[in-house]
Amino acid sequence: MKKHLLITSLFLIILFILTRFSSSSGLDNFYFIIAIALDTSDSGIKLSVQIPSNSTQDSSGNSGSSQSSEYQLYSVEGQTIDECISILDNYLNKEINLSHCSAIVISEDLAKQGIQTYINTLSNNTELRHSCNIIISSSTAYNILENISNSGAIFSARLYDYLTSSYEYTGYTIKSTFGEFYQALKNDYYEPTAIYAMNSDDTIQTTGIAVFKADAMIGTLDVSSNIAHLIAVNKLNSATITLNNPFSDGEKIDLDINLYKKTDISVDIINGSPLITINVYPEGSISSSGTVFNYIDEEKIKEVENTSNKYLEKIFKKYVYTITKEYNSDIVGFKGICQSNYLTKEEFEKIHWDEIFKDSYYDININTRVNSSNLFNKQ
Amino acid sequence: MENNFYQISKYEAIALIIIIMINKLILNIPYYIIDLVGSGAIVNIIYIGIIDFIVTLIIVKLLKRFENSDILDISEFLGGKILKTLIGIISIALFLIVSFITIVDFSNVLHIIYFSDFPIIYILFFFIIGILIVNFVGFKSIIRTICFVTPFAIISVIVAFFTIWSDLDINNLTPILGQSYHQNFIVGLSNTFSMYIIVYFYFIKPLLKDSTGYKKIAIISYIISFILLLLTVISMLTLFNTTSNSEPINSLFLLSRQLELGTFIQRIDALFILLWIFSIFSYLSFVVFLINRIIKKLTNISNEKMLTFPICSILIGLTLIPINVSQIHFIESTLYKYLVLGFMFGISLVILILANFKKAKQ
Repeated sequence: MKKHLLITSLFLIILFILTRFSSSSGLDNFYFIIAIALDTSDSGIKLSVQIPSNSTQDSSGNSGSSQSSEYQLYSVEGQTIDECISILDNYLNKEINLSHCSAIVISEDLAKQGIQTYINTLSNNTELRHSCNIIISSSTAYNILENISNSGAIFSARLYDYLTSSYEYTGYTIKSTFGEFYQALKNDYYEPTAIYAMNSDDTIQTTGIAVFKADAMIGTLDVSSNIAHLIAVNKLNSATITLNNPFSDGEKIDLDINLYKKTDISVDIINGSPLITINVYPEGSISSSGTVFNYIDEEKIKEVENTSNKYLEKIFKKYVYTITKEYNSDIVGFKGICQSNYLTKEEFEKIHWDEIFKDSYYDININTRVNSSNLFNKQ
Repeated sequence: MENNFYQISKYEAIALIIIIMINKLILNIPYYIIDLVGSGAIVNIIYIGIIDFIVTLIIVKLLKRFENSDILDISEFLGGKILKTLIGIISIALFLIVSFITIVDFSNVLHIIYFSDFPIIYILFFFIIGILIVNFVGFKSIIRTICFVTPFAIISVIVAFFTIWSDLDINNLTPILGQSYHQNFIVGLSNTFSMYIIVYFYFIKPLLKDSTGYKKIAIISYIISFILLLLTVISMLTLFNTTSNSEPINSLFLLSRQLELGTFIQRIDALFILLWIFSIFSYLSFVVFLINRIIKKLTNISNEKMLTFPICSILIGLTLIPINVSQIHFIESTLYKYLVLGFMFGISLVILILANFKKAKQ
């Protein structure tokens, strides 16, 4: 009896303690923002947020969701992200919550100054998802938010996902999430990259990669280099390349490519310079090939494969020499591959990788395999 | 009030040891290993795993001559009441520090992540009152809870490993020997503290229903604990770079935040945290039970349950000491580490060896 009395008393004490939690905030106390934009400003940074309208009914009287088509943009200038958020909290009389934030858009100008401090601040936020996209804007980041808000899309938050997920079927951009960017920033083996979005008038287009050296953006790569990058880091899902038709001058062949085997990279130090050997294994299917074609013939398939090899070798060389000679930024992770040849870090440090990387030279071998001509083999 | 005379089966004993290991994984132990030896952590863990396993086998062998005895009984046999009291006080201090670190650290994590608007004292009370209730209900309930929680906790570690499998980059694990041979094999020796479960091998024998199964329990629980540690370290090495100087408050939590099952299930860290709260509860309840039991042996009191009040009061008192991040870090990474090492490989092992000599002479 005594035991039960004691346990009941202790249980009641816990209940009283828990009642303290009843004052916790409800949904009405928060603004769930769907995107943040960071721009440069005289006082430090300009932070803009995109907030979906809280209205539960649209003009036609239908019930809506929190992701309605109405959006509000708020901007504030401050010295740090937290200061800006505090000012916004005060202005809006609600707490900014990042748990539904789909994108962090950073202007190119700010990215070129270095963004480690902002990424560190955001990484300390327990609400922010690591799957949140990072986008570098060619103009101001605020413009991206404005264009997305004015797009008229019902689920504006998802537009950021659509904007960034095109890498899966075009190969023209990359997957760039906050988690991956943070890892790359803290990683000594490869440099960070992010999606680069061109912003003109009222349109946004993701075109290639923003290349970073440490925490500062140093340049961009175009879409063909983007395909080479995805191949190099084994993240190519699907891409279409357009080749000159070897059987008919002036005509083109479109090849849908993916990888039938992971790209094989090895790094050797020859006379103090890295020799980087890259073996690529693309597999293609011919999606269009001009007016007349016949791919039942083995020789013709070989000819297409050779054409593809030459094309991919050309874009690969352009890509690797751009990142090596022009940017001196190891975005593939050649350092990690080279490091795996050594047993201890002490031994690896003797080769002074960071100094010799820009002297790298490449041996690129493309082994294209054409396995299909889609619905017709011959026309 | 009835005594805690419940004796545990083999499965219960193995589950108990594993839950202790899982608590160490939750509380940043893998991070401290990686912090010391960097990318050489996998080789280092295998290395210290072998050393600790040999020590475990030695302990099992040395305890064979002492039926149903723990380190306190053996100390009494070797050096009388004085040595028993001394070892008892050291053990109590060790377990109090362990409980203190566990509560403070985990409450701090919960406070930061989920309850930042509320005073941390509520979370501390939540744990301590829970421990108080469970210890009053009895040892059987602690063990039953542990048996229930352990399989899920093991699954959480395995899920964490396999969901990062696609991101596993072998280059993150190299150079395989870390900074240098010296750092990995000499300095890295101090990582032997990570198999902290060995401390409990000195105490669990009298708790067993059948002490003949002690060897099997020690070996099986050791191997499972070692595998869990290895999987966690590989997961963390893959996701966190060893060259950055950033130190997470809780590396396993950060790992769980990264986990996604497709694009459909995200933020499964909330589920993990719930599971870990149960693990921490069970573990702390057992540690307080063990402290009660040690005091009972030292003082010969008939019922140790009432000791739960003063022990929990001391724990509350300790947790109320205002300490900052730097002090918590010092206690976790230095004080606790060397205290555990000293107990595991120092004083207890020496007592066991000398007691065996004495027994052999008799």
